[in-house]
Amino acid sequence: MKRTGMVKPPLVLTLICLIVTAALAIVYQVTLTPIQEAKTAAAEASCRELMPDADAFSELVLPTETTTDSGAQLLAISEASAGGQTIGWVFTAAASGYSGQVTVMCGIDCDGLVTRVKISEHTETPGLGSKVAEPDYTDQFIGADAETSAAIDGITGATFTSVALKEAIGAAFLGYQQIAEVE
Amino acid sequence: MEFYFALLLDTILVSNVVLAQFMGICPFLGVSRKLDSAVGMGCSVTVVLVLATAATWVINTYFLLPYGLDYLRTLIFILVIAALVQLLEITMKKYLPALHRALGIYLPLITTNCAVLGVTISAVDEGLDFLPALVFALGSGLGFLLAMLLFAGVRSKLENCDIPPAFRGMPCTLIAASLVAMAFMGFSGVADGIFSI
Amino acid sequence: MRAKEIFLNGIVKENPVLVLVLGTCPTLAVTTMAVNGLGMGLATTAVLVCSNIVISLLKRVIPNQVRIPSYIVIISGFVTIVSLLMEAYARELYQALGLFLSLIVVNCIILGRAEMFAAKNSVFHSMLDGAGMGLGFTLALTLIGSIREIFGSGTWFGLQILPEAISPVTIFLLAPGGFFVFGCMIAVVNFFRRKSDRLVRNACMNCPSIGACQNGREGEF
Repeated sequence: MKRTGMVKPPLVLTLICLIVTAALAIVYQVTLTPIQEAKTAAAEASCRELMPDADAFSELVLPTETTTDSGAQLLAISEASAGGQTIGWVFTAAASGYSGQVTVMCGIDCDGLVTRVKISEHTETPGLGSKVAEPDYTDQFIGADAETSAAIDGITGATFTSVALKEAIGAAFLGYQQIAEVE
Repeated sequence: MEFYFALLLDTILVSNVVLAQFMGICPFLGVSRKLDSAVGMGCSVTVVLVLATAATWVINTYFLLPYGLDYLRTLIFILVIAALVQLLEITMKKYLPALHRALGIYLPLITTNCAVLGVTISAVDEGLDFLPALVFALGSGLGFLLAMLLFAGVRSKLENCDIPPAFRGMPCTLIAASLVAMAFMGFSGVADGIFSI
Repeated sequence: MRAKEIFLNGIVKENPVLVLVLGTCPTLAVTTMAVNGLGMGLATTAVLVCSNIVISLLKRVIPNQVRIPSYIVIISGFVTIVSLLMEAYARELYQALGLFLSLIVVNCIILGRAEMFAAKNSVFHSMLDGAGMGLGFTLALTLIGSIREIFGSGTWFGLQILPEAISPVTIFLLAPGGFFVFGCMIAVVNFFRRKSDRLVRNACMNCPSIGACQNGREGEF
């Protein structure tokens, strides 16, 4: 009697663990493809927002220099093409804001002009720093080049976030210059 | 060194587990009525957090990631935490009976404390190395302890207040927590500001 | 207890959030938008119904000594399945809920219901109990999410509700706002059911860690 009391509980627990693990493995296998597809679709959709004219995007290898003097980091580059022709690049870059990293996506066309800017991730104060992420502000960067984009005024009460946005755009231009040299 | 200090400051004050990230609210509201129990709970959570992060970090890095098993993370982590809490209780009972008398009753609560699971998952999610992960866990635990301590003080003041009947008990406690959380908002940007990173 | 009673019990009389005050962490953390509250509520409901069914089926198989670990394993299995499915088919919500999706495992409503109800009742009744409790949780979260979203960003489920001219009170979206709205909601509920203290004690009976908690022993919140 006592013996079964020693053996049964761990046995049942082990069995339950095994069954649950097996079930998870199956679900993982089944959802693997849809998850990958959803990931690519989400990445494409956010790139398309910045380069509305493009029909295909492909990830590029990062250039050798990825950090600007101000400490902003270039994280990813996607090449945008329309009808087989390269029309520009989407750069993802991050810089330190008021509280934490501000991640910015910036589209730059072949002439070196900004097509659109979007803050994709931030943890800034809602109502102050977050104003920088609104289109009212980011639309000012459309058509700017490396110099004019650095000269755009910040938002009062959101100085750190505005600076972070401009630093990240600076990192995007750093990537652009290196790509343009190669082409 | 500066990095570790900034990380510690950030986890204790700026992104406090309880007041900014809403993890471990149940013990925060449930065990903060008396100062000594608040300290006991806070210390137990800190100890378990550091040990659990050490264990789960190693498991995640050397067993789950290399074999592409990270979808089992939630399952494995909660089991490790539960086993660790049991082990700690047995060890403490045997070798440190005085400490067990003081902290023993809080240990079973910790398995279902979402701060422990939450911090261990965030530590590996953010890709921290082993030592930073431990500092992250230590800071989170100390942040929890600090929030518990402060809140126990606030609640002892509430005891003698005349509160409208509908607000007595939990509602008033939550509104007090809201004010403490607002005070902690003042810390945002402090760590970045001091170390300018 | 009749089936209908069991189902409605979780939604109104013993609403897990507003009456029993369980599962406070997700209640406060994800309710910055109504849609997140709804998503979190439905994910939790799915886990709760499934785990209640399985635990009720296995109630004679699982030995008493390894009861809690077995429940935790089963629950975390379902949580992982739900989060994998959400990552594949509802990616935006998956990202909005983030860490708190994994933390459904330690939501005391689920372990509490397993221990209090599913381990003692029939499969059908356990399923109804899970659905009722889950929907009660969902309703409360959606309600809190709606209040915080309307005041905090002037929208409801993404639609503009308050005129743009009124600038939203962003503190509602931050941590203090969460505690404040939750506190006021419970106060409103208390106002209508002040006399029945009995329920609060029942609340703590649900909690697996009642032995260590002062509220449980003193029967007071």
